[in-house]
Amino acid sequence: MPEPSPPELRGKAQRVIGFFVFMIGAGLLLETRAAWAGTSVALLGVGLFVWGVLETRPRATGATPASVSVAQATEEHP
Amino acid sequence: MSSPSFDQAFAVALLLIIGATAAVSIGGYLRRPHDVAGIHGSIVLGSGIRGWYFSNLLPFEEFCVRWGILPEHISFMQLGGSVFVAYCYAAGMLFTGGWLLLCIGTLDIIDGRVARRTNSSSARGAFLDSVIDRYADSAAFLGLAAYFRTSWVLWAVLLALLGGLIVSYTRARAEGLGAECKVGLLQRPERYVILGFGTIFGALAERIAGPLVAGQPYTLVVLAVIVLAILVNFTAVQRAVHVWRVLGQHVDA
Repeated sequence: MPEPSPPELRGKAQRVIGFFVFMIGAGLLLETRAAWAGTSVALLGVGLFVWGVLETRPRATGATPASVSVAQATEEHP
Repeated sequence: MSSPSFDQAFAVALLLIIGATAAVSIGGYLRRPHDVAGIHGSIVLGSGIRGWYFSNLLPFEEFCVRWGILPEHISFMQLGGSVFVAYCYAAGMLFTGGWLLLCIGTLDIIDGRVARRTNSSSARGAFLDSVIDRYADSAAFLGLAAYFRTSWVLWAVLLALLGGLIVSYTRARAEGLGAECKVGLLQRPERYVILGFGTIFGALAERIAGPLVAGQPYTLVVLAVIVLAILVNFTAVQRAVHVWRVLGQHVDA
């Protein structure tokens, strides 16, 4: 199994996917009668986004994941 | 939802969320040191905005490279997504369709970048990508054509579809004749951005303020389609003239 991505990259992916999923859920809520489906998808998006934010927030000890730039992460894991 | 007042408030909230997210994300990118030297921008999409967008794609490229997802797989995902885009547009779900369109446009960018990173670029892959791109492009316009089938807007949609196909054809034909043809005001990313954001903001504006022109629902969407139809055909002519001149130089030489 591949080793996990650096936290910055993983957090960014979760935030981007979370945003898109939230918008698609919002679209379902706005444009269809499937209110439950729309709400569920939108909440899933919010959850992913928040998870992504928590993934990259500064930690109490050691180096902060947010201090690892995307460029550094790419160099380490080309 | 059934209540117009809820729809209106929700649309305003979505507009604010989109604006705030874009401002925070782009602002954060521009504040950090960034290099856009190798990124070619255009009048519509500058190198700065492209650099920001590519920086958001990096984790997905990493994911595809790590898990061995091939560019062909991404192209087929793009094709499957384009069916959903067509369905959403045809059913009048323009906001949802707009976001899905931006997603499949993103997949189109990721497949090329993954191919380059994994050195898996091949003539067969490039051919498959081109064929799938044409289907994906056309699917969005077919969905819009189905939605506007009883309106004069149908003609603008068909003109935009035709222009998009000719833009791609001129490049393919020129390259077949040995001439390079990468010029043009509206290439595929610009077309996705205009149509995607046109339908997203058009759908929100419709719920917030109603039709901006009396008797013409989705006025902003119609405006985006007309702008696209004009500019994409202008690009087709621009490319045709460019190739004509380049091939003339070949004959003279």
